[in-house]
Amino acid sequence: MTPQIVKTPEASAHRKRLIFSAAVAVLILVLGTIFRPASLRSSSTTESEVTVSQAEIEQIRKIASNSAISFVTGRFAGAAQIVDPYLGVFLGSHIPFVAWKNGMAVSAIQSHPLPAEAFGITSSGPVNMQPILNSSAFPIAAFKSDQLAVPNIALNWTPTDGASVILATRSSEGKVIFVPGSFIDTAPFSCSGTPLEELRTTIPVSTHSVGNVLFDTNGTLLGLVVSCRDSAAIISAMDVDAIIAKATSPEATLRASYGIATSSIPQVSEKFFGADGLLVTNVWKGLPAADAGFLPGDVILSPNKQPIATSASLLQLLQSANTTAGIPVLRFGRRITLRFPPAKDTSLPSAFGFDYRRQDGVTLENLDVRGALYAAGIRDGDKLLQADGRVVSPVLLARLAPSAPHYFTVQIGDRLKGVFVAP
Amino acid sequence: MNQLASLGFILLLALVAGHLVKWVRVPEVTGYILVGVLIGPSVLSLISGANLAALGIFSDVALGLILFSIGSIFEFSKFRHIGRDVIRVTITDALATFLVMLFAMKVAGQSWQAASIIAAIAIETAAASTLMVIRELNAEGPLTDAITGTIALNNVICLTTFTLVVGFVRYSLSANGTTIAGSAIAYEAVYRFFWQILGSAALGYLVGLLLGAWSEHVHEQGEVLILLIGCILLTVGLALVLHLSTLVASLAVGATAANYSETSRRVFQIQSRTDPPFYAIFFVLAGANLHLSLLKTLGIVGIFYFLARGASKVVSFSLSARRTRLPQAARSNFPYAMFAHAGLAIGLVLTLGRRLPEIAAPITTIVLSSVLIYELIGPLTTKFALLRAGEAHKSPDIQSTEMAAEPRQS
Repeated sequence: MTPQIVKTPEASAHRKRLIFSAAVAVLILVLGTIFRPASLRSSSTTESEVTVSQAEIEQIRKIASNSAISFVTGRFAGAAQIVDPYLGVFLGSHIPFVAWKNGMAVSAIQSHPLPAEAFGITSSGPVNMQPILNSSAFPIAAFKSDQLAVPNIALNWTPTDGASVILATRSSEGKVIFVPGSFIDTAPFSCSGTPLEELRTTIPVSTHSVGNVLFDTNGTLLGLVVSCRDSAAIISAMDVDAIIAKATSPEATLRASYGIATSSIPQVSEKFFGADGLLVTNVWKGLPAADAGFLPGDVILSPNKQPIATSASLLQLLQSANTTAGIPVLRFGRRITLRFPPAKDTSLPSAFGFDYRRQDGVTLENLDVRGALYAAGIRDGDKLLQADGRVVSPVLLARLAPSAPHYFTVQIGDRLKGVFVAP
Repeated sequence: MNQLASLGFILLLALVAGHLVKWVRVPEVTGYILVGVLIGPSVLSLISGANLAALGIFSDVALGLILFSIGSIFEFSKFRHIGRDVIRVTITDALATFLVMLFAMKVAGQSWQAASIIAAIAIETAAASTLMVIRELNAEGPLTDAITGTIALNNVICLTTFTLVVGFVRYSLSANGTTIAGSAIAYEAVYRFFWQILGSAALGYLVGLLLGAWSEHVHEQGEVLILLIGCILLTVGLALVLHLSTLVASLAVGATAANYSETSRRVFQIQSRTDPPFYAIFFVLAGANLHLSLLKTLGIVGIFYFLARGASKVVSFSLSARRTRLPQAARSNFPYAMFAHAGLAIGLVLTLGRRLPEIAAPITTIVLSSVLIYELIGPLTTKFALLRAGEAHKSPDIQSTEMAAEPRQS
């Protein structure tokens, strides 16, 4: 039944009250919108309006592939989470995507397409990571279309890293190209079964071939054979120039001398974190950066007007200025200052017949004249670049078992020399 | 399975579970939640994480409908009778639970910041599962009214306390050097407090007025339903866009509609006959999102949380109910109806990750692992309380509901 509208003075007053209260409600909403704090305003735009260009995705992908992806479970209600230090995918009904930092959620990115695309996944909507985690094809598929046109794929798997896979391929010009990729798998590639037959060599291949140069069938120098511990197959060949460049790069020096690994923050992440600085991706215990209190996930800011956007600029800062001076760091949105302890310019002992000094990369000192390195013509002052095919650092040297054979790559002037050290 | 098939699967399984649990005299809600746990990622993974996330929109609508329904308790003529008691009981409970939990969490070794946030979240009693049990039992009476009113206020107080406490904690943490000035944090905290309560109420009031005025011009049941769902979707959607509380806004729509006119109250009768599918989806999804693996992380602090909250609820409601005008049967059973703990608590914990990432992880683990247990036993104790208070009535079947409803529309 339709209610009868009776126009009495009470009804008129009631209507006026309704109109007045509705006007007050509208006023509250309007005032609330006008006086919204800037912090809330910016977060809403970030969550909904960030557009990501292909170049930015590539940049993110590169960063993600260079940093150790950590896999966190059980911290949050939700399904699988795959994370790199600052971008990730969170699957759950409440928050579709969450950016992570040190295994903790730091920001919800509602319906943001970035994480999935950053990992090379094209599916729209939330992505179930489980098949990807179980699939060894993920990193190859992710890079195949645009970067791995040549079928010669060699894999360098570093078992102690667990998650790191470097894909190497030969370009049509006969040059070795390295495509850093990362993926998580508890049982990664074995040495056998990789498509290595296509990488023909002029030398017999055995585990002792590690360190030898590698040519292709045209006689073009491809690189240096890098370790494979349990098979006679070659798993990876690295370009000689690349080894020198990598071992003497600012990144390697930072890692060896200060025990810190950093990565530039792509523009797209600046939008999330509001920081223009250098992201700390790893810190090694017992070395200066850890002693200073740095943590993975910190963003190193500039203490002066010189921008710190690359590892090189950080290294320059640390080497030029007094390292006990404070370095501003952004941690979870808060600005703190960390100080490096005074540098100790002392040699560190190793278990392999040499001491080394880490303030200037890894410089060999006090070589044991009875040792294999000395016998191979290596002298004090030469630089140790690699151990078992990996860029050397105090951490790596401490981890190497003295009872096992190891292969050291040493730079003597502008020459590179490989030495096999048996116990 | 695609999303539509998942939805159908959820509804049919919920129906089966509802029948099965009736045999063992367990509330339907518990059946729905258990089915959810079974088909969710924790056990059988029959529904993918992607589908769960996509179907989350149904949960939002269902929660809006539930709170709209609870809002009807604020009908002036009804609330006048129970209002004073409800306010006294709710405030006593909130205060007691907050203080007891603050003390318990401090004793358990939490920082005062984490302890106060946990204490604020512990105040919450789950509106959805409690209301579902009331619906299922067709419960009516003083205890039922008191429970409904208390839950509505309880959720508002929990949200208010949480907003204030998080504001204080953020301000205190900012004292230790930050990129954001302390005054900005203080302003944000005060703003959030007013915006979440006043802004949400204003939005709900406006949509409630729209619903009330429009309901006088629609007469067919189908049209009323379109109006109702439209208004709820509008409220939830706008609240999300404006960063308001969907909970307070939906509650305000219900309260406004209940007081607007006799015609607008008709909406509640029609709603109760048409929304069960939404609720079934809501609880199955809620179950699917409970992660049994969290039980492993419960730990001593989690057990402490579980026991301390239960104890404080029993004691505070027992003591405060004594001073009400409720009959003896209602008073003695009141505490057991208020155990359920989910909805808002989960929502609040999830916002912590964004607002206080420094301390969010341990709080999340403690609260979510306890919610898992409370969400399973809460409906059982509510049913127990309503049965013991003698307020449960036999659920009317479809035919008698149709017949009863017909004369109202003429």
